[in-house]
Amino acid sequence: MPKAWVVVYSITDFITIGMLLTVVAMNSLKRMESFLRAYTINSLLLALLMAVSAFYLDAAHLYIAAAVTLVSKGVVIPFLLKKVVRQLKITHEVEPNINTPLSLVISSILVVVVYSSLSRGIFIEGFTENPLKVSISIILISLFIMITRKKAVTQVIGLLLMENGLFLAGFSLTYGMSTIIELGVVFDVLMGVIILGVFLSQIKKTFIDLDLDKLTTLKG
Amino acid sequence: MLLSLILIPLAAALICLLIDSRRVYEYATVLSCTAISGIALVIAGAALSGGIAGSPGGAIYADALSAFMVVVITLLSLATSVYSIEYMGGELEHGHIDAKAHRYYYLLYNLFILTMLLVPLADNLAVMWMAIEGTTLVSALLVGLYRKRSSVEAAWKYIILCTVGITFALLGTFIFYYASSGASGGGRGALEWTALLAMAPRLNPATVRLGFILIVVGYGTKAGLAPVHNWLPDAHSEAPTPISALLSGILLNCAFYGILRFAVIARASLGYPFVRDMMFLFGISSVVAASIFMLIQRNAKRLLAYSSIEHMGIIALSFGVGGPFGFYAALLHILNHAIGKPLMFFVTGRIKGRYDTVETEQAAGVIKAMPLVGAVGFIGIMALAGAPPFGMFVSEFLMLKALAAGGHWVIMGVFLAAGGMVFYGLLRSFGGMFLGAPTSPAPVGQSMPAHPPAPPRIPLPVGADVDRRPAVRGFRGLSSGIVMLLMAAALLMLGLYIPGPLDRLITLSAGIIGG
Repeated sequence: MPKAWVVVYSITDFITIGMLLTVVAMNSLKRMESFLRAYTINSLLLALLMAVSAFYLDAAHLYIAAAVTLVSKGVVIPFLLKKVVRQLKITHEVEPNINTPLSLVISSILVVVVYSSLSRGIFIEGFTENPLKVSISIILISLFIMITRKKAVTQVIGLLLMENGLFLAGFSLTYGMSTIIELGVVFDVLMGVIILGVFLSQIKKTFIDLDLDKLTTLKG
Repeated sequence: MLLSLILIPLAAALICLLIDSRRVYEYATVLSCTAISGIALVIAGAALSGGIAGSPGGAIYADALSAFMVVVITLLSLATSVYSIEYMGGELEHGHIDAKAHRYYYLLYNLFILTMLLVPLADNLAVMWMAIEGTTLVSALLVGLYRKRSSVEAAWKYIILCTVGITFALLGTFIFYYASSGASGGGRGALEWTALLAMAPRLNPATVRLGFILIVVGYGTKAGLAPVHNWLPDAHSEAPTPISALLSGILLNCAFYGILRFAVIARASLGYPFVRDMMFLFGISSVVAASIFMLIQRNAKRLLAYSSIEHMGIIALSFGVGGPFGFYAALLHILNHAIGKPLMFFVTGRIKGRYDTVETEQAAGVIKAMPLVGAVGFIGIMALAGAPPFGMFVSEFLMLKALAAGGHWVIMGVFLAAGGMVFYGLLRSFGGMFLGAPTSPAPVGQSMPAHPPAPPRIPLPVGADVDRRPAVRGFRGLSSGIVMLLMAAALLMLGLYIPGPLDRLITLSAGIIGG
């Protein structure tokens, strides 16, 4: 195996594990600012991973993808979310349904399940094997966070982390799809955040605070 | 030609954005919907004479199946735009929404039509994904239009659940791309449906299986298939009534269309039984879950929403059983449901305008108070329940025939039992609503102490019994009344006779799904 490939392997693994850690860390965080910071770090790592791969694979379109990711997920979306959080004056997440130690254990179990089942399910080789497994783990842990947390803003951050995991999966499966599609998907995510922001302020107006336990009018 | 289908709604949306005159944007919307309906019919004609109206591999593409979907979408959007003028105008005049929200409604309405039209016209499966995600974002704003506590809750649930679902669909799309890059020798893969279908036999089956499961779960969330349907009754009951009609009549079909396109590739790669079993699993669970909820539901709009879940289940079952009868039945049912369900929502909207409630027990005797609406609504309910001589009876009968021919007796038995429950549930609630003795507001309040009647907004004139609000009159009421009559007539016609060109279009589309 040429030396360059070994370098790529260890660097991509290092970065993707960093992404996984930021998502796992979400389980033990309480303050909204920390949630936002975890998301920002996660997005920056994703952009870094794309840039590194672009460098080693010598693929120009990956540089564009990295730049788009950096600007949209690393700068614009955190900025918009920070504005929403400040406007709505939410500082802390309330105590989740499942306590911190247990949710950390469940997250680890999810990672183990993904690693053991994906090694049989889908055949993939090369340096993207590990990123793919990490990405599916990120998607599942984010889903878990969305289910257990009660604040609407936390759900939005969980959804955005899920999209990051999805991008990582797409990246590992396709080595970066054609740029136009990526732009379109980023645009969709951005639109989604804006619309969710509108809803968050709407919920604030109609429900006084953003506790999702109070959204229980519609049943049956 | 195909491009104008996208540009015309966009132009109408721009007019709504720029010109602040109620007449202008109302008529611009109707005109735009009329224009795209005409274009859709021309495209369908081109597809019938064998000419594909778009080039495969291009950004937009249309074969017979797309043409069929485009015709369904455009005609329904035309009917709904006419009805919107009456219904949303009434909401504005009764102070349920303000003038800004009214204009905002038409802006979003045109964008909603635009995103839905993009779904069947996309050859690239990632573009199709973007269009389906676009429909969620636009329609969520429409669901939350009233800004009430319950509508914000419904919109929030809708946008979160559908976005999570559609995330899984995109993961499935990526996995299909990965399978195709493996099939083309590790080079660049393909996301164009035409290219993927051509290389389907060479795709790695294990990878395609994983991808297809994710696709069915993801788009199935949006299509309202049980057990991932939870957003649907809330969104349908809280949205403005014309939007409920669009959500139910065509948006669910757009999402199901996404599954259809992937299923054609999956069947060419994995063989027939896997796709069939997936469709049976989701189809039968939707029919059974919906039939149980329909027995206890008393809110007319929620009842219709559960009925949509049942009908999506029927479409999934017909598609799963396959064969010439099955595919034909699935497409015919899509058409029937796209006429019948919006018709019932229109009727419900009219009843709400008169009685100020959609609880079936509080709005009894509709047929005496509003003979035309009551009669049309009764036709709609019989059609939705699958009674002859209406269109849905034909498509459900074809499905049963295909099930019997395939020897799927258990599925058939469960479906018939659930179908009986649906029939009973629909007729019990709506039968009382249409045929029961007319109730004046006061006795309703006494017999139903749990639901005190809302104070009447306009003082009751002496001698008024049922009328709490004046009936919709004038040109607006007349034009939407004609639309409702035409829809009821179409339901009846499809049960007795399917016109030649429509028959050939459905047969051609069924051929495409059959691969």
